[in-house]
Amino acid sequence: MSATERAIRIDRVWKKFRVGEFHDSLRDLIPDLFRRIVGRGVQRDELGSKEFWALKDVAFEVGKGESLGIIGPNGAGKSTLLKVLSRIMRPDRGRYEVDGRVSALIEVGAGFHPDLTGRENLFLNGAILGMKRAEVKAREEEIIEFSGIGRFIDTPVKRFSSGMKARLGFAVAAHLKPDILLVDEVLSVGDAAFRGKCVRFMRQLIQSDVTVVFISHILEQVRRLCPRTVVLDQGQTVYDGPTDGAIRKYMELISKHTGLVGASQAAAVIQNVRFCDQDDQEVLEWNAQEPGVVHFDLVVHRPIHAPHVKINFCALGGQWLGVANSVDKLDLPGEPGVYPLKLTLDPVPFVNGDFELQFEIGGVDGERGDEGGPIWSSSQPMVLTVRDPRSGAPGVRCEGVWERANEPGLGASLERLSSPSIS
Amino acid sequence: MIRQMAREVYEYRELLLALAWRDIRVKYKQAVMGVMWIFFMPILAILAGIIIRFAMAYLQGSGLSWEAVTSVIARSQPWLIFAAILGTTSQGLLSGMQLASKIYFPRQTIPLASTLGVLFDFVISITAVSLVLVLVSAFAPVGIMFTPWLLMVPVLLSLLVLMAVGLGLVFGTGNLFFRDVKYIVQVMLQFGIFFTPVYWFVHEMGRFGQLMMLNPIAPLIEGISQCVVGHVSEGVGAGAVYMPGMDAAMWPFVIYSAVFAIGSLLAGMAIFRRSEPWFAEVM
Repeated sequence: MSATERAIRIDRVWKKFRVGEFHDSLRDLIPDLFRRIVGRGVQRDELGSKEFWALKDVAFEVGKGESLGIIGPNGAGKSTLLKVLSRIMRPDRGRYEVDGRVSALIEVGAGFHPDLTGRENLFLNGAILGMKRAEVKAREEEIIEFSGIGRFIDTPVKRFSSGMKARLGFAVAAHLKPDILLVDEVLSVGDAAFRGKCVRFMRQLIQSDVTVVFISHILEQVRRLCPRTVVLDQGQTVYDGPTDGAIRKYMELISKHTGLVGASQAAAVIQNVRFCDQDDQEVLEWNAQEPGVVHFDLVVHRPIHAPHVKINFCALGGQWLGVANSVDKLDLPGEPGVYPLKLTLDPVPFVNGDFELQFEIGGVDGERGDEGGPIWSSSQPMVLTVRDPRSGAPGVRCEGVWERANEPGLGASLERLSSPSIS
Repeated sequence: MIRQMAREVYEYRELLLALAWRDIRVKYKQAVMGVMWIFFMPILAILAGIIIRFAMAYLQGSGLSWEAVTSVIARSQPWLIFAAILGTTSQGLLSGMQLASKIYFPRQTIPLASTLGVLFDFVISITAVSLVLVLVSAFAPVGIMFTPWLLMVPVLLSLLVLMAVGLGLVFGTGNLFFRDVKYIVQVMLQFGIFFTPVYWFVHEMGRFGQLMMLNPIAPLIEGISQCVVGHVSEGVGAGAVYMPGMDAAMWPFVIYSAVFAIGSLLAGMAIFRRSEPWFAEVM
């Protein structure tokens, strides 16, 4: 990768933290304070008795316009890395270079003052995120529109619900025009509609030439937004490559850390969900005019009797709309193994809008017997966007064959249907 | 160091203004009197001074002199400025740093913005108080007089502001690491006025006057009063009007204060800069 197309270069960065309180006695404190102020004798390279490395020799590069995911178990150093990149913290060792205007979304609505109105906070937050007043002014109406706050915009923020605050904060952030955007978990706040908006916004960003570094625990989001992902564990880079591999590595780590390997693990899981078009090419959103295809892997760990897969389709917010069930349609093998599966929806049952997909595996666990519930179900719904170039309104597809009928008597039955006796 | 800090602030000038504006805006939100508080604070301080001077004059069996009234008016303002800047910068740093652990911007923007916010109030109130001084002078035999000494007032005020900012940085930074510092500042602001010639004047204190002048704020406040207010001699040759002006004996003390002001500013900036890398971690 040549220097010109590199946006971020992290060169063997180390960062240490302290465990517990900073000082516990005056005897520690005074010489330490003196050393700090004088700035000599502080061995930034060595680990004190109560210190640990939050980042250990982390090194990678991100190209211009690339979107990189960072995943890892809790305490792996993801947020620390983002704080180093956004200059909030200084590394103890190593160097990093960032080329371009950086915006970090570590907390949506950072710096909101409860006593100020939404509009006042909009300008304040814009300035905090590095926008010029004129820039905010130019996009003011657009931001308010995006946030959906409407007439409450001139109300003090302390009377906002937390969702409104998050929406306003995100609306401001979404109208930033950074070269490099660092995002830490912010896409997992707010209600379902808001999350859908966030995901759409991230997709737009990724398609533009903005460089994105994206931290999330929602693996599906990472998988769909970032082709390449770095896995951190205990401050170290343990994987850097295609996201599918990163997710496998991450699952491995999680099960190693929590000791989940073996009996307590679900007998089967669904992994690697991809939304594709009719040519099996992965797409970011479905076109309502064409068939939609869902590809995924059924991974069976322990034998299952009569396995079947259900995909629940819900509106944003979880309102159930319908289900695609493999029962009686496809015989699934119940022996351990990885089985790639495919569901084609022709036509796509939706027109325009965001929908939530939730996956479930049914059947009887060969080891534990029938526990009454599904063997496995996805904890986080996936958001799917459907676009219909011909229609604007969101909803479920309700199309039928329209024709003129000539049988008599239909009028009478319609009359009966609308009469109040049928309630 | 100074040049680099200034350049960073210049790059983030929009943020500086936005934060200062927020401080001003928030201060008078949900207050019935709103912006009127800008005027009430100095009025209250002046009234307190007039009551104290009246009590002192009563004890001495003399009347309240116009000179004392004008002098108290001229002295109370600088003290208020000093207290407000020291108070807000040292306290404001803590709340500001919470923001700084979430987003990057030059840290010095925070104390600078709170100073600007305070100064905004005082530009207004000082203008008002100056008008009052001129009005009072119209009645008084000797009040404010327009002499070249008036040009010294901005110099002395600036020194006072620099000193307050410097000390604010020292205490504010300290407060990030040790919350004890907050109490020290509180005590200083509560009792400092007793050791500063605001309601009493150095020439009344005899030998102790010199001692009081060791308080680095004292020469500045005393100096401002001397530059603004003339006085009428008492006793032998009573009635002679003395034009305002600083005593020759004041100069060493004023220079001492100036050195202290610049010194504390540099020290404040250095301590701030040195401990900056730890801010995000101790928060």
